[in-house]
Amino acid sequence: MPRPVDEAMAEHRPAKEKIRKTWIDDVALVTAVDNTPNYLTLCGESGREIELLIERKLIRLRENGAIHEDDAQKFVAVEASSIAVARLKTQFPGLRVLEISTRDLVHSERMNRWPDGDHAVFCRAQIINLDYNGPLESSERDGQLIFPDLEVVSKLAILHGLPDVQNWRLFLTFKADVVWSEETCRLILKYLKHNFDFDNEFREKSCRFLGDRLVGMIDDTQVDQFVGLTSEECQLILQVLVPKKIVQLSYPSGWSIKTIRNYRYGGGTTARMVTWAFTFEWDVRATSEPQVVYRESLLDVLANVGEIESDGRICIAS
Amino acid sequence: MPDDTNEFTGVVRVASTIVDYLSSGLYKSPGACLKELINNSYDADASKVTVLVKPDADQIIISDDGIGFTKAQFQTHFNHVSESLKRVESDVTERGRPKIGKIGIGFIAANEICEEMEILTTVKGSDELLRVTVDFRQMRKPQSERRENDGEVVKGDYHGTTEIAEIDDHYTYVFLKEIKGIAREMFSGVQFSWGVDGDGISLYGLKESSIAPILTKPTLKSWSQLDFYSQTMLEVGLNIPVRYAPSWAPAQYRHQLSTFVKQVENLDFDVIYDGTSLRKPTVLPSDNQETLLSTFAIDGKCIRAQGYLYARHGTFHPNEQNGVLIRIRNAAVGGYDSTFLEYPRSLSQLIQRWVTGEIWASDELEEALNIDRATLRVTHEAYAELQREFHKELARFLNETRQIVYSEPAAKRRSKNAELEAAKISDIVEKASQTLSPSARKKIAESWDTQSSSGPGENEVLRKYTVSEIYEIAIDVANEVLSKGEASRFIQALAQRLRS
Repeated sequence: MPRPVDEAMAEHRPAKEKIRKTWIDDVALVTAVDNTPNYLTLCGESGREIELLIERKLIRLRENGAIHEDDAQKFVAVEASSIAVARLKTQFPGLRVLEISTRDLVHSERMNRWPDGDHAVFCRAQIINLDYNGPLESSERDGQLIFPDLEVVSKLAILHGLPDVQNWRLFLTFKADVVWSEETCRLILKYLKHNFDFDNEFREKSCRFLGDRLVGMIDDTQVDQFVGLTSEECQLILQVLVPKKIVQLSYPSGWSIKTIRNYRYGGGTTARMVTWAFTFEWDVRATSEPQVVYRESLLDVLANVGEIESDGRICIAS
Repeated sequence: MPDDTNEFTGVVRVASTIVDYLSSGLYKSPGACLKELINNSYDADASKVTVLVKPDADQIIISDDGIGFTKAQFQTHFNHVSESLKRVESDVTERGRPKIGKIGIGFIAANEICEEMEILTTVKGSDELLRVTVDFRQMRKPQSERRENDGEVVKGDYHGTTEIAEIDDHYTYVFLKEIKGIAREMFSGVQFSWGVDGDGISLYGLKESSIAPILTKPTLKSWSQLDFYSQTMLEVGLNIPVRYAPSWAPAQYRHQLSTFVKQVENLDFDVIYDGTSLRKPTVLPSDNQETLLSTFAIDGKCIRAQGYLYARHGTFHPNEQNGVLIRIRNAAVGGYDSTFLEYPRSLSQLIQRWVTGEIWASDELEEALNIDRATLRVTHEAYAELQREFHKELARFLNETRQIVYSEPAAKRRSKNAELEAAKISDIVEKASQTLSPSARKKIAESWDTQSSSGPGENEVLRKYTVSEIYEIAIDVANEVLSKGEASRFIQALAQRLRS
């Protein structure tokens, strides 16, 4: 039976197609580095991104349609389902497809286990595309709110700094239809309120973006209201929450993080989604002036917010 | 009367470790294991099999559109490995293919090359998708390491689940995971290639139409000049019932060979290996040399067979194809047998090296097949009869080859060389026209006229002389026709000329 994720991936959606092409534009700018993949992606069994990479001649084919050996070292697909791996490789013989989940690729979101060998190399790809096509999952650990998928990003950031620094770019996509428990909602509200209180400029930017209703929920910790967020409102919350959390988790590893795209799309008959692109650039100030680096990254979170219309046009918020 | 209390019966239960013993060393190469799994797909009536190996063979996937199998069928098969269950109902498939597998150890071949195998399969008309993981590491452990306190074996050799499948779907996916070190290197072809024309060559990424010309290149003496990836690919192609390449044989023989070509075409079996549609790697290159093809049929008491023999002047390349290949039920028995079923080497040794051929044997020979499916029991009566009758065909063919490919062309070449030599003499005489009298020129021309009935034979024209023979002739002639002084000057000048 086809998985919902594969049906979604295969579905023709101009907004999704637009964001894919934007990703491929970024990949086209990558200069190959020895022993480091150019691109690691969760492309799904339909492999639309791989098709685009081939169309753009970023991946070359041999005369029988198989991936050129040299390019097989530069592009890596990650897919947890074995049958999806088989279908993807059948479509693109010679493509490197790792049959693994992203969490297993980094050896769980915990910090006491780390990948080695080939997996460590793949984790240092110059661009990593975590196109989850699912909601942002959360859990609690010791009263703290944990987002395992964002912890994965944090581990990837650490791996890009070791043993030598590899500046990198992250594409991240989640479905906005989240169903959070009351406790999770309470922790999210608490987290956002704390950050608003901590940095007034961030609060002001966030308030302008979120609007009075959502800001009111945060200020007053209105859990009962927050539980019933519409998926449209979830998009807005995620657009603030996710990049903020990524900045918080990754700047201690030495990275200055720029949120270069922070878009929402979907609605109507298609799922509402949120997608981001981040650049991670090594910043020597991170050790001497960590708060400066953090704040610059934080204030950049909402610098490039926008919406991709159903016809694929991108509308950037002024 | 027998005493009941002294009698006992029981069923011999074989430990799963026997699988490791069975398969260890059974297959001479990783490719031989892979072809067993592909032949399973053939027996499952698949039209199309996909084999995915590259980029680094850390996992190999074999998928097919065959009939699949149910949980019950899987359990029956795996709980009784090596019991002959494949042909219980029929020895042909629903599509009429003679089944290749017999004793049901095809899947076990995977044990040779990987640590874990996952199978996903479903049959048409069922909404059940079977997912089974076979842990070969576990199977290899001694039973003592797998028992709990009560002595029962607790860890399963395989673990299965059922999921939902589309009711009309039918397929099988086999995932070979954690490919063992050397096998992985061989599958992925990381080893050095000696190359053709000095260039390292891999068949990866080539269309089937590009592969046959590489195999017929005069510079390709052996498949070992290709990388291991390519050698494995060729070995697999040789052993499974796929089609011949479009240009595998010289055009003038295609009609004679059409029976064999159609036989495999009718099987409608296609294997896509990393994007390349596999063909038999069998090629009959001519290299613009004299060639000979002969087909034969054997209709003995114990066996029937048909086949062909092909010879080309000179050692046959690629040398993997020098010999005869036996096919039973369309699958090859190992590789080409360069002994031609133990044909005496003393007989036409040189010409044996010029020959390749294939034999399609009837099912009776299957009983002589050893468990490795690569060798035959020479004591089996079907084999013995095949050997005897084939040797008669081979003897006839070698004689014909000696005559048609070797002797007749050699005679033609000799005659042509004699004519060329005579023409050279005419040229020399013509150039010496200033010093030779017309009568002398005429005499020379008549002496070397090969067309004349009284003219010289080929042996005289092509005769070669040593320096001492030339001196002997020259001195004799000089003494006969020249004065003593002139003869002396002539001999000195001749000596100087011969030395320079």
